[in-house]
Amino acid sequence: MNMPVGTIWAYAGATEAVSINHGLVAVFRYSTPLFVSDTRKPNTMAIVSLDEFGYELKQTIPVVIEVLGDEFIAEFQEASIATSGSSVLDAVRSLKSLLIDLFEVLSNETRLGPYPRAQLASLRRYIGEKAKPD
Amino acid sequence: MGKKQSLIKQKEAREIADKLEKDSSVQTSIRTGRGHDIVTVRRDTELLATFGIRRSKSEGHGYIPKSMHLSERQTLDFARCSITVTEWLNVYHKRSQSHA
Repeated sequence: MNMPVGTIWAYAGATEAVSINHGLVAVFRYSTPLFVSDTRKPNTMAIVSLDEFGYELKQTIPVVIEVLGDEFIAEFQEASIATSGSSVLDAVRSLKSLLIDLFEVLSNETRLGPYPRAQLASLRRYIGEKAKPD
Repeated sequence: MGKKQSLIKQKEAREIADKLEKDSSVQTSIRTGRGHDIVTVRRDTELLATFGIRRSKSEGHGYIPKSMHLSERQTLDFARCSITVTEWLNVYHKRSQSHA
C-alpha cells in the first residue's frame, strides 16, 4: 500500500507517531500505518491497516468524522456503523475494533435479515481473510 | 469543539439495551466485543439488526442514533418507551432499505 512519507512532527502516544506530507496525515504504530487523514478534507479519514486484529485489508476504509459537543463520532457510512471517542484518534480506533467485532458476528450468523446481509457484504468489500501467522 | 452536545448518554444506551432484552417480540443478545457490547436483535432466528454500545468511561453515546437509523429525538423516545421495538424495527427496515 502506498503511504505518504514525511517528517514525524508529533507523538500521539508512546509507540505512535504522526507523519504529514502534501496535506496527508498518517498515524503509525511502530512502522505500521494505522490510518490516514487528508487535511484538505477535514471530516474524513481512512483506515489503512487492520494488522493489530490480524485481518487483511482489501482496500482503505473511508471514515467520516463528526464533532458532537466534546464527542467525536466516527462512521463507516456505507454500512451505517458508527461509534464515538474522546478524540479523533480514539474514535477511529474504536471504530476499527467495532468493524472487526461486527464482521465476526455477522460472518458467523446463519440467517441474516436484509440489512445485516448488506452490512456484511459491505464489510467483505474491505476486510479480507484473517492473516495466517508466519 | 462542536457546540451541540449529544442527548444520548451511557444511561440511555443501557436503557435501550435493557428494553430490547425485555421485549418478548424479539430475541436480543448482548455479547462482549473488543471495546463494545455487541447487541444482536433476532426474530424467528433471523438476525434483524446489530450495533455496538461502547464500554467506556466517557458519557457520550451520540453515535447510537446513526446505528439505530433513528433521529436523536426518536432514540430518546425509544429509550423512554414511547417508541416500541416493533415501531423501531419498521423504521430501521425502511431507512436501511434506502441505504442498502
